[in-house]
Amino acid sequence: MDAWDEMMRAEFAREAADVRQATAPVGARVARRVRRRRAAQASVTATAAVAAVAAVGVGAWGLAGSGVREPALPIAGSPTPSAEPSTEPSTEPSGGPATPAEDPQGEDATFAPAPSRDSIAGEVTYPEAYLWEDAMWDEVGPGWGVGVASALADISYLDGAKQLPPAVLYLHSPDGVYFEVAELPEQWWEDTRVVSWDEDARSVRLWSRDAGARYDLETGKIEEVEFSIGGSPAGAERFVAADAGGAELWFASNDNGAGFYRWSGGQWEKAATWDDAPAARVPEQAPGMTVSPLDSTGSRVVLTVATDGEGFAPRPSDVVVYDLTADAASVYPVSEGAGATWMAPWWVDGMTVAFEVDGAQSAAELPSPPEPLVFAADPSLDRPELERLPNAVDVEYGQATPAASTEQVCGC
Amino acid sequence: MRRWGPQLEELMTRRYGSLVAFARMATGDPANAEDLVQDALVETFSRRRSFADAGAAEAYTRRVIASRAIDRGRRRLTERKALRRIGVAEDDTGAGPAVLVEHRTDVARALAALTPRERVCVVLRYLEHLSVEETADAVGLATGSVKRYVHDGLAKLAVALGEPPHEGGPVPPRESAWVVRREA
Repeated sequence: MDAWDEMMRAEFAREAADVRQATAPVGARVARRVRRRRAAQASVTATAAVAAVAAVGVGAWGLAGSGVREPALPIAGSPTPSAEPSTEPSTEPSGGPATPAEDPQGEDATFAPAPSRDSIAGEVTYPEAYLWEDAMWDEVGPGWGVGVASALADISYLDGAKQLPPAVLYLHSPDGVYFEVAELPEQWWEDTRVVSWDEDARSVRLWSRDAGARYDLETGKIEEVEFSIGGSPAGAERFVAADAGGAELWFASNDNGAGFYRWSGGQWEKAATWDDAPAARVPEQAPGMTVSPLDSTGSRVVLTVATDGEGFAPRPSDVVVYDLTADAASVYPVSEGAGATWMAPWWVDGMTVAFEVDGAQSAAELPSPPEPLVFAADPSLDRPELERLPNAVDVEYGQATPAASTEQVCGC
Repeated sequence: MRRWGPQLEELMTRRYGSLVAFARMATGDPANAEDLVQDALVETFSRRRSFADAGAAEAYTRRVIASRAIDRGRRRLTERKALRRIGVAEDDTGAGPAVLVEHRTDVARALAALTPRERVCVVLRYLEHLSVEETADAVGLATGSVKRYVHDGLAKLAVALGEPPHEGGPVPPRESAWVVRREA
């Protein structure tokens, strides 16, 4: 044994002498936590096995995969340093030897199923789910998702012929198991979705038509987002983007003005567009439909500055690329003369954007530094479909919000 | 109670103190060592793996502790940096930790100067007697990284305890440096 070993052992023995043994309540608490976790995994694994039979391609992740690297099993015969239990009297009262208490629920208990909900074909689909248990928070990590099942209010809802069904918030395990977290308050029943997930704070941002709110997944507390422009509350709030780091971009407007606001580091601030492109707006996708034109990182969004042209989606005077992570706006003038109707922009690659110009796909590379863009029609361009997450999943753990979760249609 | 129950009970009744001491060595954070051990025990037994005996379960628990110690240590460093960025000195957080520091041994103080990874790698190599490969496996690092962290950690310890690092290997500390003494 060399000197380092002896030094470590001596220090270890000193630490061990200071440590008191576990009390019975501590032992019982650990045993209870183990039972809950084992029960949760039994529930989820069983459900996942059923799903795997029904659907090709379901991965055998098992709930055991929380995204944290699992240490290797111990190597047989590897030495484990030992310190005898302290013989020094403890100054703390002892509850006696630790004996894990029996849990009446037992090892093989499963989660309670969530209340059965009637889906409405074409409007809202509630997944089969378990009720969320706080013990499961330790399992949540990469691969998990969060989202809302809610309906869009069409004319039949607006004229009172139908009652909107409840909006329900779910967590979704990587194996496709849903856990119902809560039924949202009625004012959040219309076309509500999760648009950002603060994993550490266990909260999400909700967006429902013209309103946003922070929702605490543990307490259910809701804090509405309220922007003020020119001293008056904004009448419309629209979510635009959220990057993987948790920064968000929202658009707000009232009679006093309009502009983009950025959420970062726990506070709101005016986005760089207020200085660099104050007239920038989210461009139209189609009549009655909006989607944020996000790049593959979910951080850069294409905005436009409208000209005074007539009709739906006239040619923009400028294309603006706003980088949410960097809070930077790059303004690219658009050469005159090309097309009358410009809509549905998308990213061809990291440096090329395309618009549907008078019904034809036209693309332009983004020069650096910014220069006027020259769009050229390219029949070979094929606008990809929006990648959609599973039903009632809007945002994935640690990921930027996908463009599909920014899609909003009028319901008219 | 199933098989895991007696093993957990044995660890809780007979080995808990040793595990907490190990967690204190791995983290240098006596205040949170018990929480770390309890989390590690839950982690060890809550998955459907089986151990030949309580000793094997304990060895696994120690690896979980080591792995989590690195995570927590790095998180603490990040928090400290954030506090410094906004102008909050660590001394502002109260007198408790400073008092504790005064009661540490020379070795504890020297270990406190190591980064979380250096500390855990040194502890696993010289307290647990794991090989470089086993250490790498336990904490999810490459073997080359483990060698570097151990080398750097030992060099820091040697400097802190009054001995210059030797070329090519660990340095035996001064005898007086690792004699446990209390300064209370």
